[in-house]
Amino acid sequence: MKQLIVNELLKQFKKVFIWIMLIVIILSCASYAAIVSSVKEDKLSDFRIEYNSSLVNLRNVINREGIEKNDKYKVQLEIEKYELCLKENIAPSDWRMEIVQTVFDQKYGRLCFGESADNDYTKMLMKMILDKDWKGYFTFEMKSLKELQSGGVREIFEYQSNELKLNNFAYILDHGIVPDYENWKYKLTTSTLNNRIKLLKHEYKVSKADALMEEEIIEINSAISMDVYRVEHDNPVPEQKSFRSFLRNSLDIWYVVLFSIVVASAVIVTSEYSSGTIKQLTTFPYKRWKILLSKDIVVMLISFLMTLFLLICSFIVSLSFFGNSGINLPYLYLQGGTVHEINYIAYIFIIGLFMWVKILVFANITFMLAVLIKNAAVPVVIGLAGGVLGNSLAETLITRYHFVYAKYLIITNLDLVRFLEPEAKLRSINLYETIATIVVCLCVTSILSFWAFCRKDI
Amino acid sequence: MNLIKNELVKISKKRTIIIIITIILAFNLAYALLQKSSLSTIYPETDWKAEVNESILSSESQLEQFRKEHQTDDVLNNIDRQEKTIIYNKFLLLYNLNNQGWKSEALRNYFITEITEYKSAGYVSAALDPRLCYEYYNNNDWKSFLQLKKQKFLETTQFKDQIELIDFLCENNIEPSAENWKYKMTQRMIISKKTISEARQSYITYGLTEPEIRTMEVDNEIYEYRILNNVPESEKVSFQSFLVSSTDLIVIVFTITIIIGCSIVTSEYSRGTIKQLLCFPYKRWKILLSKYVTTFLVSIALLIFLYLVTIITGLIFFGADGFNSSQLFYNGSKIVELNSLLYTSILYLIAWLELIMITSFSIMLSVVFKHTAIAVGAGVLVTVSGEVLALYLANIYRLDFVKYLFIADMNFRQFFVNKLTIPDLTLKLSIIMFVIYFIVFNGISLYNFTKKDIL
Repeated sequence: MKQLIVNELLKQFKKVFIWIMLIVIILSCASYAAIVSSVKEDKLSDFRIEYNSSLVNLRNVINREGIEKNDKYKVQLEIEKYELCLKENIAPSDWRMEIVQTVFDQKYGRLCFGESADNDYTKMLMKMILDKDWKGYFTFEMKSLKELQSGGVREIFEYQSNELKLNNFAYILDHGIVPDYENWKYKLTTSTLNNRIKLLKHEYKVSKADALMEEEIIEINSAISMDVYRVEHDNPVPEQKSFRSFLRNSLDIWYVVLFSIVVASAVIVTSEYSSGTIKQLTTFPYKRWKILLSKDIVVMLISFLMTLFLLICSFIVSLSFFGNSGINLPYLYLQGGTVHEINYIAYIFIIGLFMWVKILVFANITFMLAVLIKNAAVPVVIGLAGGVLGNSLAETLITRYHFVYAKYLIITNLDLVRFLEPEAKLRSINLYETIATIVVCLCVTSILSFWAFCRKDI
Repeated sequence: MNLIKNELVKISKKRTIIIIITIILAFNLAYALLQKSSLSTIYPETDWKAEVNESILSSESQLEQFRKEHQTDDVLNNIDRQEKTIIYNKFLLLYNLNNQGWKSEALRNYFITEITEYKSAGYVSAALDPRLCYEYYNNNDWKSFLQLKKQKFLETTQFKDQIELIDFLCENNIEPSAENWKYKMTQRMIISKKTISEARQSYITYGLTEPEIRTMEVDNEIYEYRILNNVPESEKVSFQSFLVSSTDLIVIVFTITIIIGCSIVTSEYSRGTIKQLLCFPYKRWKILLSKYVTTFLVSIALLIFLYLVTIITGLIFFGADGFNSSQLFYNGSKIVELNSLLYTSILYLIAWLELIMITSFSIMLSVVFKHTAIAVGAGVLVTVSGEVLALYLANIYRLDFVKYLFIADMNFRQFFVNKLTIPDLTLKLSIIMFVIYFIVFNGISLYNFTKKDIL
């Protein structure tokens, strides 16, 4: 038995094909890294150009004759606003933009009622803008919000959302999070606040457009718990050009492994038929099932080795291209509403294991078909098409056609990675059913191929 | 000629023909059944009567609560408001007015005069004039109602999209009633335009990538065309939509042709008949050429067969209405309307061009490696993921050289149908590269076939 396996392994490693595929893995890994690291980041569009063009337009408008008094005030104030923004370098995403908006709206309102534009309130806000005093602004906002709350807000929704805003301000002030959109912590806290308000709107049925689907509620909830956890535990979302995200993305190269394993498992059977060596092989003093078993084991071994090779390769490539920043930060995933941590390297190895299982299933299917029809082409086509298209096909069947039995198809159950994703797709499937389906599929394909191989005349 | 006949006979002798025909028929039937069973439309209608009833119930429960409370001014106001809401909703039910249309909006202003606070403007403004609203409702004068609304929106800067919607409706004489498909489509268009413009301002991206934004823009243009030219969108599965979506099944023809093309060459090697073949008084390149021609003939036959079968199953399952309907698509610069039969024929023709490219690629591999499995596998991989890969590399990673790859050049669909294209790739360049790749692939296989020793 051992000899048979060794014999098959040697045969496989003598083939040029396997070595070419290994080189292809290395090359595609490296070129992927090169492509990712060469992509230029999206630059923020220069707001100064936009501001200047608006200024030109506004100045044309104000010079026009027959303009109404109130409109003239408005245009005048708009011009002042853009000039201020240009001078103080305030982008549309800047936190000061909000204050600028309030100040100029106030001024407009006062001018319309025939009062002077500036009062204490606007002067104070202007000072905050000029001093970049975000702590002062936030404390002031908190104070006024608190007054509003104690004065009695009529709508319960408004009361609750003000409460949320208050909490957010307090959190930002407590943790000293600078309200800059470059700051990921600020970004995440704002998005958490927005998500919570979205949920509130849904709960109190504020308007029809705010009604959420059940799926969306689950998504928003998971996003909230994820973001809160990230801010509290200082674990940023990996950037596109970083060690962590590249290591995860480079595992997409598993298609190369799939291709080589599917081809190898079809060829390992049919080459014996086509080169006629099957007759010699069966005259060996081994039982037939042992011969087939040795081939099956060799396919498993090779696929395992290749997956491992891919993992190591992408690990080395991402280390050498992106450095080891963030290597110690754990991977976060959601399960049952709570956030769990897992070591990043362990996570990558688990993903690799899942990929190996997926490859193994398609290798087994290809193997069975190759034994059954003694032809290499058709099994390869089915194995590859299943591996590449299977997942999206299953999703279309379930989401678009509501095909009930799709749950029991093997292609739906192979995407094991989703049990570790932040937001899970196809929620109707649970882990045990998935494992059961995979085991059943492996058993059925193996039994069929053994039965066919032992029964068939050669 | 004799060689080609010989090859054709060889193929048709096998049981393969029967298997191929059953595969195509089975896939077609399964696809038609799936489409038939998916009755859900793209934009499902909401049951407005149920909504109105629900709103009445919730108002009544709130009324009960408020009546128990201490009667302050606020509470009295709220009670008044809820009572008015109930009257308004009952009126809707009585006169069978959908709560999505402009009539219900006008009535809402008449029954419940809301005080809306435009906070950012810093001053308080009243809602629409209730008497005018009622007058417009009685006269069925939706244009004046929209103008009234527009005046209100113009007071602040927040409602640019709503003003745009009103202008569009007035210009094109679209009544904003719930039954009017044009109104619904315009709403969708304006919302998506707003999303696009916000996404373009890069600080609110909604996670949209550039290709997705472009897809949305093309969708908007199609919507606009439909509204302006009065071409309603069929929301249910019809003969036409089945015909167009069944072009997905061409993948089956692709795989079958790849298998035939590869095994037609390698089976000679593996069965050893290549030696007898070469003993014939024909030149070697003629032998390979005959195999090529046979493969291409088979692919044409298969495509035509698939097309006919699709038309027949479509007629059986979805009936003949919509047989002459037209299909809209974006050809890169403008929206074009074409008969759906003609449109699908063009799709099939384009698919055939792609098919001969992939087949020559895999025949080349099979001649070079003398190995069916690798050649077939590579061909199928290119079929399944080549287009996606090219689009991904070109649009997400912005690689310039992608336009010179054959996976980008063989895909002529992008110039006629697809919304997503590879930047800087013109039709001319694509055709030139296509011809070059075709010559290169076939040149390599001819060279290999004529020069190689056969053992």
